[in-house]
Amino acid sequence: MLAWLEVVGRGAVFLVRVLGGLPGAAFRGRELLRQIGRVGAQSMVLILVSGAFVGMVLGLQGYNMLVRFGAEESLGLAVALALVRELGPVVSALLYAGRAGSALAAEIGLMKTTEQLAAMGMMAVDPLRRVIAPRFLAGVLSVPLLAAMFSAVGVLGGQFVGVGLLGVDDGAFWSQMQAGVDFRDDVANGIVKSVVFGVVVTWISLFQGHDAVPTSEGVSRATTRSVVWSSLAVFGLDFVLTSLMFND
Amino acid sequence: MAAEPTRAPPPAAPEPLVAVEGLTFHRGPRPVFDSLDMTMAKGEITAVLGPSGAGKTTLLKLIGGELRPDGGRVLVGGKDVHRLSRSGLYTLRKRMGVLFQAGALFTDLDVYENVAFPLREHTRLSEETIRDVVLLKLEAVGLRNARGLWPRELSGGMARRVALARAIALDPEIVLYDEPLAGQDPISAGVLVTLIRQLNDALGLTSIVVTHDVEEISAIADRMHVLSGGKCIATGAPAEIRASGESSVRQFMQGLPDGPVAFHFPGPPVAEDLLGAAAGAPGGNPAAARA
Amino acid sequence: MTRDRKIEAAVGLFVAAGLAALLMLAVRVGNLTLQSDAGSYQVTARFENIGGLKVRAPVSMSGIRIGQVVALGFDPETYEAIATLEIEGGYDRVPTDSSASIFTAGLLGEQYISISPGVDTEFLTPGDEIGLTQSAVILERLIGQFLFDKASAGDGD
Repeated sequence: MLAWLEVVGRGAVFLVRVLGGLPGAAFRGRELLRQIGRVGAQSMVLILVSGAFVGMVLGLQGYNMLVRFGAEESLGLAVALALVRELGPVVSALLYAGRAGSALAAEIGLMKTTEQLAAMGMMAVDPLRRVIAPRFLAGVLSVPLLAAMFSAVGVLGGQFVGVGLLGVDDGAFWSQMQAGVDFRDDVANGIVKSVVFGVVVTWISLFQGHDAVPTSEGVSRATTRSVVWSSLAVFGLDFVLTSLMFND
Repeated sequence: MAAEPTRAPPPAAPEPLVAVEGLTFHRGPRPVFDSLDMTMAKGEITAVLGPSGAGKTTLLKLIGGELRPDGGRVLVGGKDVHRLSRSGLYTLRKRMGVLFQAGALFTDLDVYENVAFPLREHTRLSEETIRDVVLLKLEAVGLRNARGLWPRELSGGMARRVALARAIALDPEIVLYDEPLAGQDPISAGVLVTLIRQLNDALGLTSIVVTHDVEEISAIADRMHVLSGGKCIATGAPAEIRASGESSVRQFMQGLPDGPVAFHFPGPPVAEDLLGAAAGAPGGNPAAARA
Repeated sequence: MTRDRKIEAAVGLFVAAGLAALLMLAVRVGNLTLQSDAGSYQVTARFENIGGLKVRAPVSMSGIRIGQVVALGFDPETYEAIATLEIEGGYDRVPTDSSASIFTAGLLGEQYISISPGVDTEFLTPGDEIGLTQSAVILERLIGQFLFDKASAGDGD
């Protein structure tokens, strides 16, 4: 229990120091670009393909459900709301944790094991500012974009199944969606969610790598832990955020 | 870079640049250092010798301010390392170069960028000047033509030489070497030892080498400290240490398997274990050699 | 240096795709209109009961959407609900004696305000109040009324 509290405490101090390094990271354009390329762009294909399939499944399931009430015109609305409010932010955060978060934890853990972080510190360069902060910022910027792509592709996937295969009217699909989805309540809240998930998942992953026992076993455990804790944090926070945002 | 004249061997009592005074450090309940005293003189190569687990790497981390001691202090150039602010510590660290055990090259940068890293971080030099400095430093370690390689393409010895070039990129006053010879073949170890001596003299450095490779380092060190049991048990020029009659120093210098550092892991004697019915730990506890 | 160019291209593609997705969610899915209609104007209407009417509910006339509800308030003196309606600029010829009713789209759909045009030759201007209103139909109340009527009718037999 005490050990666990210690980890939480170290994690909090870590976050504060990384946040202190953010202004500097924002000015390291090239490094930031490189890291966005690694954590964001490399997760893109995974996100797009997953989003398309999730949208298609939603189209299929939603149609089967709605057609019983003769409300299949609302398919667009159902698909869009499910994606924009929940599945887009949550699933893309989980995929990001598995694809990029684990890679970040492994990379930082390896840099610690091979004394690269210590070497940097001895060169009077704070590794939290130089190495961690740009990766953190890149993650926080990338996740909302990934979530938006997931939702957008998902809507198109739902349209493909609903309109293209099941014969829902295209005009009704879009107009019901537009009438029912509100930008601020639904889209903006979904984006806020994904920003929070981006902060938390990137933080947990970087911290697990930085806190890893500097052996190969320690790094592999840190990698696993980063995914486990990130996923739990995403689900837990999703509940909290949902009850704060959508309970009117 | 080699503009400075080669220094004559330093006088008998040179001024200390690094002084360790009454240093005490615990790792868990186990004391690593118990009121350790030693000095490293300016311009000299000081070797810190000791068996594995004697805390040699810990000593470097304490000198570099990466760890905090439980007692005592470390003075570098008259400043107490552990009473400096973070920025004061970083200013001090710019005057130190550290060569980590396996080099600790940044894996996402190539050789050239690794050496350029401290320059880019701490100076506002133009790209041409950085290029000149990097090539000169790489030339000094004989790897100018390896500048386009990646760390994963280097052998262990080459990686250490690149790391050495990086450690001296900012022209530090002190270079700390953490086990520079561990796991090196004789040729590679010879190259590194020669480099340490040459760079020390050519650049007017003060070098601190922690190692257990007695033979190789004896050839170049001006002064040696032998650590054992958290204390410095012998200090002097290599020849003096070699001639020491003290048993634990002799055991270490001559590589004897048994002596004050026991071959057998502490425990009940073998006769008791084999003959006594209830003696010994369950499952048997094989004697572990403390190499 | 080709490595750098590749990274830049990948990041560029990533950011562009992400922003495009955001734009699609905002405009195509969320129906966000970036600039508010310059000519739009607001009028109010008082209702005894607004039922489940929400802010941003559509306001329609003859089934055509002409605006939306932008605010809902309460008048503590008369105990009436006050709905503020924003009518788009193109629909500036709504007669002053029009009436506003709260209807439900379908049996279970959302509620909206329907304006039935009057016959006056003067038109609503910003800040005007629609005098004639018809409150939301509360299904439970109707059912209750129906059952009560049935019961009293049964007694009479």
